[in-house]
Amino acid sequence: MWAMAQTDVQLMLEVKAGDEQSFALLLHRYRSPVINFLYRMVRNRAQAEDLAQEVFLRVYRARGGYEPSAKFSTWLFRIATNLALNAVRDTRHQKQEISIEQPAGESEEGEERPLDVEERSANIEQHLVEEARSRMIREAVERLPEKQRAAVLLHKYEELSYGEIARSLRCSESALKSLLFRAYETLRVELAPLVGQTKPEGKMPG
Amino acid sequence: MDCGKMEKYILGYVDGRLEAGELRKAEAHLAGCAECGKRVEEFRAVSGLLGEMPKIMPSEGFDARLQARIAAEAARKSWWAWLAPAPRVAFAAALLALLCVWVGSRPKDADSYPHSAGAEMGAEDQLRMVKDLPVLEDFDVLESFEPLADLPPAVAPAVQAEGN
Repeated sequence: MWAMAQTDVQLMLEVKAGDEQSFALLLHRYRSPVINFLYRMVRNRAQAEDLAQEVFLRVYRARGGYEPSAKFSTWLFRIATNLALNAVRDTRHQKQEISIEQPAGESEEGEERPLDVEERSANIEQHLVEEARSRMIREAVERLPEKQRAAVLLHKYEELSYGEIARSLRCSESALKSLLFRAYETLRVELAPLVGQTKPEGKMPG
Repeated sequence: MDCGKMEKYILGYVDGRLEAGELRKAEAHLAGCAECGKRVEEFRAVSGLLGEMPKIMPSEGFDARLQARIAAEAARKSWWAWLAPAPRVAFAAALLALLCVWVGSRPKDADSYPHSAGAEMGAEDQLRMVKDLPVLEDFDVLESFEPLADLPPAVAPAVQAEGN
């Protein structure tokens, strides 16, 4: 109970002192947000997990020199952002080739689960509408320049403050606000058909 | 506040992250600007759409794989740690190896240099060696070269002629 109530910084200081259990707790606390952030950045589950492993390995390696000068999550997502941006830049051309070759409706890593019989009989049309909507959102985010994409994801999902996101992206807070504004402007245009629509009822993927 | 300035505040307004002063300014602008008001609604809708993006769960082996990597790294580190306390030994060993290489690269017999092998050389070899020497060294050798001592001084007549 006590361990769960500990702050990230307290846990990290214990990791620094050699407590492996505290590292396991930090891993448990952050693996899902880190993996999801990376997955939304690179759009490949296996690659996202590999990168997440690298993030936590780097944290573990750096434990000896850890100083609680910033929020742990800021530091963690800064590492994750750097790795994600590098990975996106490295695989940009490769990804484009794969997208062209892939038939519509199939994700790069084959994430789409097949429909079971019950779903088909229930409402195949609704499912298709939901799939199209989900794909449209995903692709709009995917098309954002990588730095804008990272800013949007950190802002939307990780609940980091503007200052923390700016530090993760190594830019000023003012530059971050411009970055986010441009990203939202792009998304507003790209997702215009969905803006103003209500989400269809029923189970959404994921 | 104008529309240009509002750009920096609009998302904070949508998120409810503005400070009290900023919020008052934003609200004052929005009260008189339909365009920015529309944008606020659309940004809010975009934010909602982003919330629909699917989430994935870490694979079952994620933690085990990470722990294995950490353990492998710790094992590697301990191997290095085994070497680490002996940097002076490693340095001394490297110096010794360098010394061995240097000694090994030297000629085995220092007497094999031609200039000290004069006693064993034949007259022909000595002459060839003298011819091969640079001019200054050549002069020193010729000055004490025994067979030349019997010859009459070759330069004397020329000096006399100059005197006349």
